Order: sequence, then structure tokens, then C-alpha cells
Amino acid sequence: MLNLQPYADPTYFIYLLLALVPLAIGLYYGKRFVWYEVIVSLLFIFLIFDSGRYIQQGIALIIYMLWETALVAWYTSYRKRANNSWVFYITTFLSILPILAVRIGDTGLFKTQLTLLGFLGISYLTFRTVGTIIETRDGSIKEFSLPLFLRFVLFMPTLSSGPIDRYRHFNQDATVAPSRDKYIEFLGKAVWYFFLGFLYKFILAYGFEHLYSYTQNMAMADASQGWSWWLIGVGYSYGFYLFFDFAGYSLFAVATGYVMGFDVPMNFKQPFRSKNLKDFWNRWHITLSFWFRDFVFMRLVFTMMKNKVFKSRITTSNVAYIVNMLIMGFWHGLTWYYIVYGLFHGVGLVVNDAWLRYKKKHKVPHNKLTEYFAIFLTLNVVMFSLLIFCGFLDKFWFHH
Amino acid sequence: MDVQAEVIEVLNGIIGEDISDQMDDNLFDSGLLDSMATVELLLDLENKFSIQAPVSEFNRDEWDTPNKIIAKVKSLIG
Amino acid sequence: MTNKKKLWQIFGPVLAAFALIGLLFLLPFPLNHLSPQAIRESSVSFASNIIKGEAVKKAAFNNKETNYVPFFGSSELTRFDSMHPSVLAAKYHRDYQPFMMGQAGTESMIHYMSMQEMRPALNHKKAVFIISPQWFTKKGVNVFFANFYSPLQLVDWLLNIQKITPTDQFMAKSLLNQSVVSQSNLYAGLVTKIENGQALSSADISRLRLEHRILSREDQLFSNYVGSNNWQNKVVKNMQSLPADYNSTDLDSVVTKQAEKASNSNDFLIKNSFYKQRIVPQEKRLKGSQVKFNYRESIEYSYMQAVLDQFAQEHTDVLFVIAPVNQRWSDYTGLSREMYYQSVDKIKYQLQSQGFNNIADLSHRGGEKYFMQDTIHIGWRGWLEADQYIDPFLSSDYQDVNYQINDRFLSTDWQKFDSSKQNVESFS
Repeated sequence: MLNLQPYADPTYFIYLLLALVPLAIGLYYGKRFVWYEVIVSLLFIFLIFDSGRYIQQGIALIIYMLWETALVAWYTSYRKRANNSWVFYITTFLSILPILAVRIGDTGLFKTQLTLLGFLGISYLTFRTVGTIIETRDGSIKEFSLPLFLRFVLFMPTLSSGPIDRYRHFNQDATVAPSRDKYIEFLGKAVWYFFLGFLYKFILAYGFEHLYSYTQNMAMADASQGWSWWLIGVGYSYGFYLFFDFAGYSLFAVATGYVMGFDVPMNFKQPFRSKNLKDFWNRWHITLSFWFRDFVFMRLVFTMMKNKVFKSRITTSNVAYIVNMLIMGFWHGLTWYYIVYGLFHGVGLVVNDAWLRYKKKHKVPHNKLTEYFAIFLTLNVVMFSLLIFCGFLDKFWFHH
Repeated sequence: MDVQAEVIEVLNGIIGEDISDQMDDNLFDSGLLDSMATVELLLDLENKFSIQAPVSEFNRDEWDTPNKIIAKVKSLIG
Repeated sequence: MTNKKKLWQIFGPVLAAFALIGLLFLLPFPLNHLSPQAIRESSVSFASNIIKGEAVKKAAFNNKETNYVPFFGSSELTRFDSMHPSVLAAKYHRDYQPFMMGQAGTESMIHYMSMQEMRPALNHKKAVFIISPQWFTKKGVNVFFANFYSPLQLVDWLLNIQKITPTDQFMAKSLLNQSVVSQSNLYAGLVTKIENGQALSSADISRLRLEHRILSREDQLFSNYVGSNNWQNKVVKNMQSLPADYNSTDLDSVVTKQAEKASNSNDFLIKNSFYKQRIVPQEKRLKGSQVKFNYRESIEYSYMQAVLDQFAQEHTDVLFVIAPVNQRWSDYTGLSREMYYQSVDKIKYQLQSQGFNNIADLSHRGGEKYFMQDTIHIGWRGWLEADQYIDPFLSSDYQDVNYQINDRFLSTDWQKFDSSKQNVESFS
């Protein structure tokens, strides 16, 4: 049976782009063949889950979609009648229940039962669904459209790992074709992104992955009293591997979206040129960090300020930073290193903010040199956090 | 006091400097506004003009300069 | 700018890229060039791309200047000292030079796949094959298979099949147990055909030829760089301590002195650096840890049979070396000497009953001083002793061989044949 994992090898791109040719020709001539797009998307999703160990995941996906669709459909109709906060909280909780169960399963508790609910991309589908529920609560989304909701959540190019779009933004493109000029611009970018993605994912990430495994072996062989200089290499090689792998993947997803006439948001913007941690989170896994910014951080601050939980504005934002990043850590998985990673970035943002305030008050020299130093410092802080994140320290210290 | 002047006053209060000479500058790009300040802005506007501006209605592209914010507030009032 | 022109600007470079790729794969000249020095370096580099690919093997074994002979084996090949076969051959200007094929984790199944890419180098030629009884665990040690496997090996294997033999079917089954093969859409189907005894169609063959073209070009492209300095650092360096003329008695006293100094930190006579890094941290834990080890029953016997079948097909004149273990060490870990010898009996019966009579059986000599460099790897006097078989064998002319292959050695009956309960000669 033919099985195609998204963007895994050159043949995938050949199949995918051939399948998209009719859609692209339609879009060029100002027509969006929605039915064709749906068939091709379903086919490629089917080919991910059609054999071996993937079948189980396919079943989990179907169950998941039935559950979430029912939830969102019901909540939209409820929201027209009433707006009780508790109903909103419970609905949100129920929509994250599947991923919560999978994460708990991953820790070993009821492992065999709970992990059966998991599938490739579950967390990204959850972001889309929860975002939709929250915007419905705010009254920004008023109507529920089954076909639009399914097309949005199951959007084929971004199914497995994002970028995470928003329902309303997606719908701006979903039923109309872009203008010809716009579409030509899309195609131009798509070609550039595909080739940049090839460089990132198949050449650079491949190289750094080897370096990562080499440095891990060296660190393991050289472990004495919980420290090895090779750990520095592990952190850097993993950091660059993760970036080139994930950014490469994201480029493919965005490029495929463009070919299909969707303005899919970008996920990375030269993160290693960040001048501080805040800047970093505006450049790294952007759609995730913006999702957290809009749906967790700002809401939390809004609630805390409105109810005057803390007198000081600074305390409010510090608490919100730490909660926000901790939730992000928990989202990655329930292990100590993801949680410490979240905490590290939460505290990092607090320190970063304090420094920015200090800098504003006092006359701190600012020139090209200090800027380079800031970039260098940020890079190292980030790489250290990714050393925590990669989980090697767990193996290094506790499972040697 | 008209809407324009009041919005500028609110913005000046949050940002801590006078922005009346940079009405078309992008406040996010210049770092004058961030998520935190945005929430303060929404809350202040809510109090001052009794308008409802939920966070999810807040699209950065539509709120990134003083003039755009004024236009937004006017449309929400009226 | 017109839209047409814009589209050309966008897709023109893509078309050009495809055209260049097409040229790269189709042009009739080779993409690699290995100098004699690079080949010499490769012969002791133990790089996995040598086992995976064709390009380095072709360059080495077609080479007219030096007569490279393949040495198949595993981790012992990487144990350099002054008596290592590569060192002795270079120092004493023998008319052969070993080409090392293997490293930690390589065993018969990997060698079988690798041999598919070097059949001319085996055809009516000589080879040395070092067998470690440690390979013969119940399920075999081919957990490392994926590290040494390449699609090019598989394509070569499929293209080499003229008429499907029981060995082919056995290997097909074994390959399908490897996820690198079973997860590949194209290859899993073709290998299943072989498993079922179904000949490949001519469409399959043309598809494989195209794959071969692409994969071998890729192999050529990436085999230009030899990332190793072993020739200088290991071979040349070890040559310096040797006397100018070869005399095995003199060499024995030279190497005994070297070994004595290099293993003076422990009673097992294990090389000091190895002892410090690999043994000390877990010495207590290892005591008695190998009591239950059993090499008598293993699927590896059938993998080895596949290798033998390959040698028979190519009429390769092979010297088999059967490696011992360090007896001082195995007594500590509780590895049963009796079990070890019984597994060696089984291996030797499989070899000799099919006419593979060139055997250097060193298996009983692991108790001799400085025969082993560490726990299970020969070195020092062990290498020197091996040389007493290797040098005469490789310095003489090729003799045509006549092997009688018995496919029963592919069966589970043989894999499970318990040489402690039954006499191996009762198997037929």
C-alpha cells in the first residue's frame, strides 16, 4: 500500500505538486475548485494514515474530529442564545481533553489506552479548534459552517505540524480565488520557499542531526560527575538541527498553501538574529507564540487587570509571562525538561522586561557593538534552553 | 473633548511619551506598544468610551498606528 | 512585465534545476575520483559508506597498483597495534594489502548485502573472513543493520538474482523483517515477490535499473571525501616499531614487550586505555554477567550460510579466521568455555561439510598471554598468530574451489540445532 508521510522524501513533492496542478491552473484563471481541493486533501490525508502503525492514528483522527466538530457546532449555537462563563470554560476543557489524555498517556499512566487517542498533528488541530471556540465566545465568530470548519482544521499542508492559522483569516481565502497578480506572487514565493526548504531540511538539518548524534555519543562516553564539555556541542547542534528541520518543514507547508491559494502565515523569521528573548519569540515558531500571546497571555493580563488582582502592572505582566510559558512547556509534554524549559523562558522574559525598563530609565549606551553583543547573548541563552528542551540531559543524568 | 484628543491622551498615558507628532508611525514596530500595553489600552478605551473591544477583535494590522486606533474607536462608538 | 514573463521568471530556474539534475544522473562520466592515497586511506577508514556503496569498492578492487584483498569482519578489524594485518602487509611490502570491510556491529547479513556490490572483486579471487562467535546470539546482532544498509545494496541484490534460490528467499524474508526495507513502498513489494518465489517483471527490472543509475551516481558523488587519518595515525605509526626484516620469532618478542607495557594495569591483560574507559566504570556489574550467554542456537548460522552461498557462486577462495575470547576476562564474566567451543564446532561443521576447508581456528587460544587486545578482540600476539595463516594464504596463487552448498543450513532446524546435546555430524 502506498503510504506518504508529509514532505518526507522527494517523491512526496512530485505526487503532491502533480495533484495540485489542476487547482493551480484554476486559481490562475480566477476559479477556486473547492471540490477538487477537498478530494486531493482527503486523499493525501488518507495516504498518511493508510498502513501499518498509522491506521490506528487514522481512526483516532476520525474520532477526534467527530468530537471537536460536535463541540464547536454545539457551542456556536449555544453562544447565540446565552454567554455563561462556565459553559465556555467547560467547552474549552472538553476540547483540550483528547490531547490532555494523550499527554498523560505519554507519561506512562494508562499508556496503552490513552495513547491510542493520539495521532500525527493532534496538538496543532487542538490549537485551531480551541482558538475557534475562544473567538466564538468573544463574538468574533458568529456562524458555524461545517465545510469551512473541516477545511480549516484539516487543512492538508499544515495538518501535521502547523503553521497554526486562525479561522477568520483562513476563511478570507477559502471561498474566493486570489487576484491574478496576487496568485503569481504566491507562486513566486512558493518556488523560493520550496527550494529554501530543501536546503534547510534535507541538507542543513541532515548535517546537524548527524552532529547532534555524534556529540551525544561523545558526551555519553565522557560523562564525569554530571558534566561534559560535549554538552555545549549537544545544545548547539540540536538547536540548529531543530531550527532547520522545523523551519524547512514550515516553508514546505507555507509554500504548498500558497500553491493552493491560501496566505498561510510564516513560522520563522531569522530567529538567531534576535536582540532579546522577546524579540526571539516574535521570530521563532511565530504562529505558536502568537497563539499563546493572543489566547493565553493577553487574556490572562486582561482578566487580571480588570479584576485588579495585582496592584502593580509589572507584577501582572511577570505572572502572565511565567504562566504563559509554563503552559507552553506543559503543552510540549509532561516531562521535567519541557516544564523547566517553559519556566526558563518565563523567567527569561521577566528578566528581559526588567532590563528593558532599566534601559529606558538610565542612559545605557546603545551602538552596533552592544547590538551584536545582545544578539550573541540571546543566541546563547536560547541554545541553553534548547539543550534543556532536547531531553538529552534526562538521558545524560538519570538514565546513563 | 473630542475622540481624537482623548485617544491621544490615553496613548500618552500608557506609552509615557507624547505621540501626537507620530500619528502614522507603527507603534508595535517601534516597540512603544507591546501585548501588555495593548491590554491596558483596550481596558482604558473600554472605561473611557464604554465600548467593547474583545482581545480577539484586536487585529494588530488594524491597530498599529495612532490614526488607525482613532478610526477604530470611532467606528466602535458609532 | 507581462504575466507570461513573470511565470517564466518563476518556473524557468526550476526547469533549469531539473535539467541539471538530469544531466548529473545521465552523463556517462564518473563523478568520483579516488587517488591511490585516498584508496589506501579508505582501506583502514572503516567508514560505513564503503559498506553501503559501490564507488569505493570499485575504485579499490579495480585498482591496478595495489592488490587489495577484502577482509570481512567486525570490531576486531579496528584494533590496531604493530601486528595488525594492514601494518604487517605495508611494512613487509607484501604483494597484497588488506581492505577492511567492517566495524563494530557488522555481521553476516550486512556483509552479504555489501558483497552484492562487489561481485567482480570476489569472482575467482581471494578473501579473508573473520568470524566472531559473539554474532551468534539467538536473534542475531543485526540491530545495526539500518546503519550499514543502503537501497543501492538492495537494488544490486535484486538485479543480481538470475533464478530465485532458497538463499534469495531466505534473505528476502530476513530483509522484510527490517523496517528500513519493509517501510519502503517500492522495495517492500519487490522483495516480497522474491520471498514468494515470483520472478521480477521486465518493468520491475527497468525501474530498478533507473534506481541503480540514480543511487550509484549519488554514491559516487558522496564518496570523494575520505574523512580519516588512520593510515598515518595507526598504520604508519605502528610500522615504526617493527624490525626491518620479517621473522616471526623476533616479532613475537617485540610485540610481547609492547603488550606487556600496554596492559599492565589489570589482571585481565586488557589494554590499559580500554580497561580504564570501558571496564572500570562497570567492573563489578559485569562479574558473572555472561553466565547465560549461548551462541549455539542462532539465526546467524543461516545468515552466514547466505554469505557462504555467495562465495560459492563467485568461486571465492576464502580463509576463515575464528576468533577467541579473552579467557581471563570470560572466566570473570562467567561465559561458558564449553558453550563457546560447541558453537565453534557448529560453525566449523557448517564450513567444512560444504568444502570451506581454509580455516584458521584460533578459538581455543584466548588464554595465551597477550593474544587478546581486550575482552573479545584479538591483537598483539593474536594478530601475529593470525598472520601465520593469512600471509601464506594470500601470498600464494588463487586456486579454484569446489564448494557443495547445502541449503539445509538455512533452516530453523539448523539454527536451533543444539551442539551440546547432539553431535554436529549427525545433521544432514
